[in-house]
Amino acid sequence: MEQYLPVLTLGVLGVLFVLLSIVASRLLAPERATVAKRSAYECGVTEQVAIPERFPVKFYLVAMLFIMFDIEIVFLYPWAVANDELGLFGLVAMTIFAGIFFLSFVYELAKGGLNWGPGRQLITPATSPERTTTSTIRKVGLEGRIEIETAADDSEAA
Amino acid sequence: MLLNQFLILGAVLFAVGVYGVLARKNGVMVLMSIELMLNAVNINLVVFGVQHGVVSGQVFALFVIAVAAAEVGVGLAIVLLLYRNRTSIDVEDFDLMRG
Amino acid sequence: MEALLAFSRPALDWHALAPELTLLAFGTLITVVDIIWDDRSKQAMPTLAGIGLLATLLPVITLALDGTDRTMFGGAYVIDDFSLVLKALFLISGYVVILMSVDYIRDGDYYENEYYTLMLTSLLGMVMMSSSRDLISVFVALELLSIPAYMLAAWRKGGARSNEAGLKYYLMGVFASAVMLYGMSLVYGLAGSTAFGAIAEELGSLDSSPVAILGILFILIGFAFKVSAVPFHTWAPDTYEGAPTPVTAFLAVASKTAGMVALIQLVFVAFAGRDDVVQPFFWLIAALTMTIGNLIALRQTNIVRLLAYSGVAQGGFMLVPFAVAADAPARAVEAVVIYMAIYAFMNLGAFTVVLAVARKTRSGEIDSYGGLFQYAPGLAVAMTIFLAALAGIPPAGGWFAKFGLFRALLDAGGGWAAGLGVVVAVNTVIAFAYYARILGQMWFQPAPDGDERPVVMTGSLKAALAMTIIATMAFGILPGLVGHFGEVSVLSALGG
Repeated sequence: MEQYLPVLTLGVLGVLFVLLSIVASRLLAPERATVAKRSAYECGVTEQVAIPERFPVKFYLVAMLFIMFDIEIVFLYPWAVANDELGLFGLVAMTIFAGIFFLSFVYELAKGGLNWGPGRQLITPATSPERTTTSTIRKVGLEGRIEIETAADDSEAA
Repeated sequence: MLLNQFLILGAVLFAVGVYGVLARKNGVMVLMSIELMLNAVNINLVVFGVQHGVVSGQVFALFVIAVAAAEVGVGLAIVLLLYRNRTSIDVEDFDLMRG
Repeated sequence: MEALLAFSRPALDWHALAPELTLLAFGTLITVVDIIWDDRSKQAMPTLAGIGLLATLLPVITLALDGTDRTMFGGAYVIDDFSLVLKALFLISGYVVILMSVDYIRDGDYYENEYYTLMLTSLLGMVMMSSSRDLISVFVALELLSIPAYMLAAWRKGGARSNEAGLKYYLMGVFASAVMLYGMSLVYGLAGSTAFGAIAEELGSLDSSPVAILGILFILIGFAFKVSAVPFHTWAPDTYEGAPTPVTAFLAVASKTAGMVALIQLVFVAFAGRDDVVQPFFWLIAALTMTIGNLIALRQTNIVRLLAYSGVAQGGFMLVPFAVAADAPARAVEAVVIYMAIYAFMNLGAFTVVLAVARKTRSGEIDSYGGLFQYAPGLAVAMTIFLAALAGIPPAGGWFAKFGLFRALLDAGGGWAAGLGVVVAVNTVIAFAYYARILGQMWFQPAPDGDERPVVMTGSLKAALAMTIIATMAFGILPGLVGHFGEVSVLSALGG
């Protein structure tokens, strides 16, 4: 048990330090709050509400692809350095590795991960709440649909 | 050799990472903090490997780098999914389940 | 430095690697089939995944019949009876989970092919874990089993709860791996080697080094997160509740077992000489996990959440033998292995029933189990068997697992072991209270809204239920069976 003594001592010291700091700042620090100080970043610049901006998700897939090949390079580089030593064995091993790796790239291609541009832009769906494709009459009775959807999701969580 | 300095750097980086994970609310910042922790580990591994004169530390570091990239890839995907469904990446907003 | 670079081709024992290679081949095969035939191949996917797991069992069996221990890569990868027993356990649990998933995944209109690929990948990590005897291979196996599991937990893409489950599991899991890795880097720094044997020698000789203690503690804490031990359990109930139910069963059984396997290797091999650090840690963690898991389970109203907390508590029971790791090593390993095997089947069985009932009631509340005996007597009896097993009532399997714990504690002897024995006994009684609540609801309460339509069972759910019932009862009535595997695995775990 005495093995834990240093760890325990350090823990107690840590807790004491935190408590002391809190108590000391309560006692010593003057409390003169202003709006500017209360705001986030406390730098006087009024913070702006983060607008949920749409960003193209395709960039994310490209970033993923980059990370994938980044990982491959991590293993290719040491192999390249030691190639003379490793010889045929290293070549075969790396080929198998790269082959399985390449499969993930093919998968992404097959699933349309790299299809972008105008050809695949989503057509505005006909089920827009305001208009149908054939008329400009507004559909009614759609209020509360979003609630129904979330309720369905909750019950399915079981 | 400057063993201690490197180890202190590793420890400080790790502590900064832990602080970031615990204190940050933005999901992406939490991911970055985790990345810091893993890089602190890499520093330790490489330094110890050099100190002992064996390559296993560097090999370990390579695996950590590879796994970290995979982890962050999955993490970003999950954060993105949450952003689409909830338009928020504040980790404190996600409290549907408690108790 | 020249000596470092000298390379000799490692001897590859293809027979020993066959299980991993088969699993990998089927994982890639599913992806290839998906790429070529896309949606047309959906129907075949569960079958393909199931065949993959059964095909992987074949080399495991031939290796077991062969019986020789095989060591590869300088001792980093070992095939012995211990690893083979656990590989078989992982594969069979995985097969049951796939049986549970078939209809859930098909009806839910989720991605199917990817689901099974990820499931097989995660199982590959577990199969690797049982053979790993080296920090690097343990780490790679752990991540290989965890990363697909993060995605599986968030599988219901549109469901806010599932997303949240995935995020919580991911953040906690990655944070835990980072902490564990820092511990590994310290241990590596002291030992100068990643092999468990070398680490054991070096750590055993460094009696008062605080770095050694810190490294060991960090590694153990990292795995405590994985096996959801209190106080590192906070992710488990939320993740279990939010994730799709088959995935929950997978996490609660296979993922937890994999964490335990790694802990066995670390505690009994790598940290063998450091019982001064390991034993108090596990005493505290095991007592806390059992007690807090059970107490919170008492006031749950959702059955998945209740099973989650009960799973936390069961994990606490599994951690008990680690607290006497040095005093009675053989008995302790045996107790953990037996507990894991029995727990896998009884818990998978309970989740199968939950899944089947939810197909009708669409609810996870315990109240909705009223009248189950009237309209689905078969399911009610099955659930009774599993809950009795979880509570440790003979003749269902669980009693033998608990018996193993007490035997390990008795062998160790002394005040600390006796104290822990008392905690185990008290917790067994507490656990009985909440299992009995579900039983009472099923047998004696009327069905809510008088809805007594029968539950529609599918073939795969029936198969999963049959497998788990047979296994649970077999372990209870013929404890010698699982006891034999336990003993076999002990010899090799401690010998290596």
